[in-house]
Amino acid sequence: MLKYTELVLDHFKNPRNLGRIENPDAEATEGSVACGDMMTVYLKIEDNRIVDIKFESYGCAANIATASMMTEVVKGLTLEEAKKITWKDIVERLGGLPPVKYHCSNLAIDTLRKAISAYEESFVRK
Amino acid sequence: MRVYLDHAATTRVFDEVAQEVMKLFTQFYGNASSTHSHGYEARRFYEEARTKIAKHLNVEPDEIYFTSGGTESDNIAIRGFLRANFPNGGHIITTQIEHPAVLEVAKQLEKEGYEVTYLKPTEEGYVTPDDFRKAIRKNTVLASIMWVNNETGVIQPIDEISKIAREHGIVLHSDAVQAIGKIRIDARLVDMLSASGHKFYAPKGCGFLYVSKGIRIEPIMYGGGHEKGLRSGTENVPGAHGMAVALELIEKNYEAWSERVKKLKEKIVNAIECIPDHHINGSNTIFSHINVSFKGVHGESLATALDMCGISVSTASACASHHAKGRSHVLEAMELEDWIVDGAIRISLGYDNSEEEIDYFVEILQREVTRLRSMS
Repeated sequence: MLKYTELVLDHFKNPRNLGRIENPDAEATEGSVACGDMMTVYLKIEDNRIVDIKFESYGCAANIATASMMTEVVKGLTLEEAKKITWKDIVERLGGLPPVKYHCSNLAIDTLRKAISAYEESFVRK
Repeated sequence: MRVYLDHAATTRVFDEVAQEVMKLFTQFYGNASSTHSHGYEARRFYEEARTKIAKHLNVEPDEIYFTSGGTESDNIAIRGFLRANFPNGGHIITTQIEHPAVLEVAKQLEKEGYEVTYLKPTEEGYVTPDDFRKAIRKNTVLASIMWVNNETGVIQPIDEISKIAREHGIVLHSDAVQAIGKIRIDARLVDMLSASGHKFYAPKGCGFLYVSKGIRIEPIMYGGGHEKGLRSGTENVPGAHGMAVALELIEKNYEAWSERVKKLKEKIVNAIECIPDHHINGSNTIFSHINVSFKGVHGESLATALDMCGISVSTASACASHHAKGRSHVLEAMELEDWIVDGAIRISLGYDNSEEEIDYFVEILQREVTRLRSMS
């Protein structure tokens, strides 16, 4: 396996906010065609703030760890704040990732942003 | 507990081999090409090793050339043969499932003007003699077909391919890196054969190439003219001796050791059978290999989870980048479903694994597959 930081391995072994939310305010699934990783993000939103977030993942250890860290970082943030979080923020918080795994953190951010846009679009339609 | 289940990657040098090799580092350290007693001593070990290895393969000692390993042997065999006999081009048959040491050579040859056919395997992981026959052209001069695939452990039908190659006067090379020390093979079936010491409990950095008498071959590297001019470079006497001792040990204990490993493999396969939605990749596999995928579990995360419990297995498909680079070219060539390709792990047993290790492995495997499945 690749050399991961202790924190990455901890998030892989004990992922935070793992699972699904029944009746979420938004959800999105994204996959990486190249490597076969897939993940789903569920959001509970109140007053434009992420009050709960959960995820499911079919992916490598880095995918699971970055998704877990992403949920920890954005929980409690407003949608505007959450949208500003980048894959680099996640990688930094994890104490680094092997460069070939950067795209895994990208997948976590992409899925989050997709869920937020889904929420905003449904709001506009209302 | 630490459990090593990646013997297809490399093996632990046998204690007996390590002791013998150490003797050559410190006691009989002469240059085998020197003309004094230190040199003669070393030469004796070197030539004895050649004789023992030749006997193991059922060939003559002067048909064995020592090299630095599998990659070098493959390069000398393929490039050296073409350079000596067909420097202006020709058609070569190989497979889509070769190790990069052959595959990348073939790709380079294409750039240099040679034509190459890459045989596609069945979904069970072997190339068929029929496809081999159909690929033959008037200008086919060389075939390179691996004996055992490194990822799946599938044994290729070398005996039948050998017959067809002989009928058509095509020189046949085989990368037997995963076969030597595991299955008994008759090297006479092919004209050239590559092997690597560290895959059969000898040190890293040594290997050999068998070239049948009468096959003309040119060096790809020039220097002091060692190994009858085919492979220049000071003789690696410790490596050659280490390989000979390792093969002798394996020969002596083969029945008992191989039976034991077969039973351990059975134990693992039985445990896998208890886990729903799995796929064992490849059939007619060597007794030490299991390549398996579990639906809903990424191979790399399973390998990482096992590693965290002290167990080393390997993944064929690493999720390495945006470009599909990380996927296994072998499993893709077999046209297996995506979840199988992405989910594959390779478990490769060795003669030094114990029953306790396998009991522990099987327990952790079942637990981690269940845990990772609950995440998806």
